[in-house]
Amino acid sequence: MKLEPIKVTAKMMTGQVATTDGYLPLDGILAYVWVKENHPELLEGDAGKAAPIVVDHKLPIEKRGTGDDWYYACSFACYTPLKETRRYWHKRFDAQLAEEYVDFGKRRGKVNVKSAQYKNYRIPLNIMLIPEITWYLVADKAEIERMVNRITHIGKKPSQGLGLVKKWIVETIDGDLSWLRPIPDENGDDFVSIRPPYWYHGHMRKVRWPDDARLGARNLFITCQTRGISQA
Amino acid sequence: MLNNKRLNGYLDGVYTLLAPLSHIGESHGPDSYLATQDIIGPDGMPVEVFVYSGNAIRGMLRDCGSKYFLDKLSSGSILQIPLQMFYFLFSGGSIGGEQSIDIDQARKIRETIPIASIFGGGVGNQILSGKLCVNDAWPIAKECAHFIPKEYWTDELISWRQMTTERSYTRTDDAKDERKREYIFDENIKAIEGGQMKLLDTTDENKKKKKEDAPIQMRYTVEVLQAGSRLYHRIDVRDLTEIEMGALVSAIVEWSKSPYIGGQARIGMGRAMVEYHWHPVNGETESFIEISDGLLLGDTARETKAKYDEYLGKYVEYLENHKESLVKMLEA
Repeated sequence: MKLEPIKVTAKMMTGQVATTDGYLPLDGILAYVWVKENHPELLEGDAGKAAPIVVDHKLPIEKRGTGDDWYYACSFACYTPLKETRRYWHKRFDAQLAEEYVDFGKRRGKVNVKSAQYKNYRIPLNIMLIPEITWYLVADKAEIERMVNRITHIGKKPSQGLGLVKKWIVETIDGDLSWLRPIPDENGDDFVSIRPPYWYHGHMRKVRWPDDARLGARNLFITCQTRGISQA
Repeated sequence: MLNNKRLNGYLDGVYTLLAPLSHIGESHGPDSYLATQDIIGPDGMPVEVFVYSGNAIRGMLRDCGSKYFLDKLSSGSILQIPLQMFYFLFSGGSIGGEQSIDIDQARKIRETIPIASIFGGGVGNQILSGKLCVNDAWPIAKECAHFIPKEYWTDELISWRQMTTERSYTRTDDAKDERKREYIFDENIKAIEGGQMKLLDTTDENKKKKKEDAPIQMRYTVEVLQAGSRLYHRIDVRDLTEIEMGALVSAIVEWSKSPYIGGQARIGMGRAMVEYHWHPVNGETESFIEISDGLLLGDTARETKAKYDEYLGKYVEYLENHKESLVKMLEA
């Protein structure tokens, strides 16, 4: 396995990516691919209570940092959003089909769709219009190329087609830019997860963000600051 | 029963509208307008375009697939199931609700109901992820030229805005029609003045009630995509078993029995014909399904649907042999 600086670019189909924090770390997405290929039972919950929260993903990416503060040499998403929009998705109880197929037994045939279990929803989604997203890694180019081509969508709501990738481009580069990400730092001014799974609180550390305009999350953060919006 | 073969790839194809399509975004008073989204256009800049929601197609296929599943199991009659199960099958269920279905049971449901496995859903406190990415459907128009495969182009592309038109309708208040008025049984309506009905009952409560009940005569307008317009659509599939692929085919086949998309189907809007092609990862593209005057299945679609039907057949046999209903098994 030859680890070298590479650049991964996702050319987006319509450019619609649903994200609020804009982090979109590629190692997190690749970790999902790794689990899907090597331990699909973990995604299905088949391991039951014995399922480990943290798995050694063995990603073909160089590891950095010391002790338990290690992280992959993989940048967060670099992009410039052209526009922020919003769309809504709906979930509704289908009363017409229910008339035909529901057996209410001895219960009253009335369904409350305004609250509780069968509530109808109209959910807003923040959409960033991004023509292409770039990541920088120190990794095995061939293996990364194989893995990214298993990823069809990026961000939230792929089930509804958001974040559809048109094409992946993986290329070697001269300089290492994998530092375009939060780096663990005791004196850092933010507190975020540093490696997959990024949702896991045990991976959260004090970090320092590089002040670099290429980082998409930074661009969103500055946009929010300018508008006086606190970012969740 | 299940083999280990997994199908990965995507289906793509075209919906050709045989009637105007209504898919409402915003409305102002009695006028409603087509749903639009901003996307990156051919020049790399944001552009507004009509989009038929992927979630709408997903919901439509989920309904059709679940209907096919239940109808097949009931062998002609209507199989009725508990509300909670209905909600899971037709709407994807919910999490954080009643905890009467545990995780083991959820897993069992996923294994035994392929249609639920491909669309996913929420059971108890667990999310069962789906295996389909049902993308939006985009008009085959100038604004989308950079990502719609050229094989789906016909003539020179035009803007999607040239594909729209408006349809206006009138809702008549038949109670104001003298010829029909004689059929109204309402003692409070005593006289007509200037062509308008007058309510003689003057109590506030009755006035309010009559106002609420009064039908409103109105003219409303719907912006639609014209008949003949074409929409490009794509469904990405991940790790489907052959039986699950068959379940997806069954959903499309069920839809073909009433091939409408969008709103106002009651007045014939949204009738469409469809063709999908199957693009397996590392495999050759093939025709998958074609719905126009009739239904035409490609090799993969035909074979996987046959396997799904065979699976459902065994399912029915199992239920009959054990003299227990699907309902009881799902509630166990």
